[in-house]
Amino acid sequence: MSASDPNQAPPRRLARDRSRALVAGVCAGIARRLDLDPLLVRIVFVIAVIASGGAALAVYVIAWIFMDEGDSEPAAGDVNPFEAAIRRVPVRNWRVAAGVGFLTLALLLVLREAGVWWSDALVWPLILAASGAALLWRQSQAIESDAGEPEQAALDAGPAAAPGPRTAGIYRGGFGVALVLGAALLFLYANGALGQARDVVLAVVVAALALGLILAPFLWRLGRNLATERAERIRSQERAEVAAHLHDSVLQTLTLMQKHASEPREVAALARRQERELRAWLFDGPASRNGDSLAAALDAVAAEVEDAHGAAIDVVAVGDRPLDEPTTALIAATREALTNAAKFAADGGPIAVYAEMEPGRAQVFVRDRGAGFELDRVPADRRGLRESIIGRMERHGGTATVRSAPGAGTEVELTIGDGRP
Amino acid sequence: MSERLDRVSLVAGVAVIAMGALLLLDQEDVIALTLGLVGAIVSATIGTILIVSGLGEEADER
Repeated sequence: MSASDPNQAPPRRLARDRSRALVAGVCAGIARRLDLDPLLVRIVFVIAVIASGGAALAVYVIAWIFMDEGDSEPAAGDVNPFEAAIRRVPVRNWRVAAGVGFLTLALLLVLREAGVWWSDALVWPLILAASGAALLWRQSQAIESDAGEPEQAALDAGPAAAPGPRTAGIYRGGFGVALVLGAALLFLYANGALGQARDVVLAVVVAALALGLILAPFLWRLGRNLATERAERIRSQERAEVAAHLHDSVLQTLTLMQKHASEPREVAALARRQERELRAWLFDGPASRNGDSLAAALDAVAAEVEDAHGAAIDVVAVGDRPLDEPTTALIAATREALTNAAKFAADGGPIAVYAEMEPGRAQVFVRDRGAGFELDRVPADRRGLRESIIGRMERHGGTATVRSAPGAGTEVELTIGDGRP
Repeated sequence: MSERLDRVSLVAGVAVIAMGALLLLDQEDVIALTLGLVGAIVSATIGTILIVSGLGEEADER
């Protein structure tokens, strides 16, 4: 990769990150530089402030003064997938999180040795409580972000979906609660108040157990009813979605086919378009092919030619890769080959498109069973084949091979890339 | 193909050597380490190694 490669991400310098700032973006900037969750840096900072008796606030202000502002608000299009992943995943690696924890512990021990310390009975429970609260806070954020589309997620996931993230969330939340409770107990113990608190806690636990025994059947039934109601709502939502899709697609197409009953070619084109759309909806799923992929562009170009010329086109695509300049040229050449086939060979049966796509290479075959032609007899002024297909592919580092003979149909082979990603 | 420098091993080695040097200085009564400071040094060493190892893994995944 060359130094001027536009795809190469520039190194992150230490600068304030105002796009994720709570105050001035110092912690967020440090987190961005270290590829960490800003929350983690903020927790370390808060602990440092508490342990240093407020001295760390001065460090924050100094950093505020001396750190660059940075690119505060990146445009949505500039956020690369890796950046998006950083923002989505809270702490991406347990080793980094544990390492930050150990360094914080080291810092606290040094401060303790230096005498910048309140008291063991206060600071250690405080740290435990802060860690637990951070875990719980993180868990609540995860639940909140998932709450937007839980039902759609349930629809997409299906009954056999793995419960991994949920289980991890339960462990994280449980660990957070344990840390906070442990901090409370440690605080009471260190301050000699555990004995008095024990009686109160015991009374509360006994009362809670008694209430639990009384209310358990009702709570269990309530939970079961809520689960049933939710499942029914999901089913109903799914039915409504299917009905709406069928209304918007199949029923509309059937109406159009009735109107064009006297035009077999038009009816056939409508039926094929609907078949393609229905197959894609049933088997590919809504997110399987997005608009930036070569396979999606190939489907779109086939549909476009099919609609424009009323020819039947069968597309089989193996693999996929993102669209770039060479593959855009490949799509344009495919369009030209399909247009030629639709114009001159549609009566021979469906036109077949077969594509093999991988990261460093893409190959497309366009075959028809039309009358065929002799390549040498194509007039020089017909620029479609020579310029729009062969010339275009060569200009983008690819090749185009046309095989045809009278009565044997035509095959156009388009290749781009040499297999190296 | 030239061998790649293993950053994690390098940092871990330097950190352990630094820790050993501090403990040696303490043994020779050049400096006086308390239990709290030894704890801080060990924690900092472990933390540094873990962070470098974690960040290295992230970079490899990218």
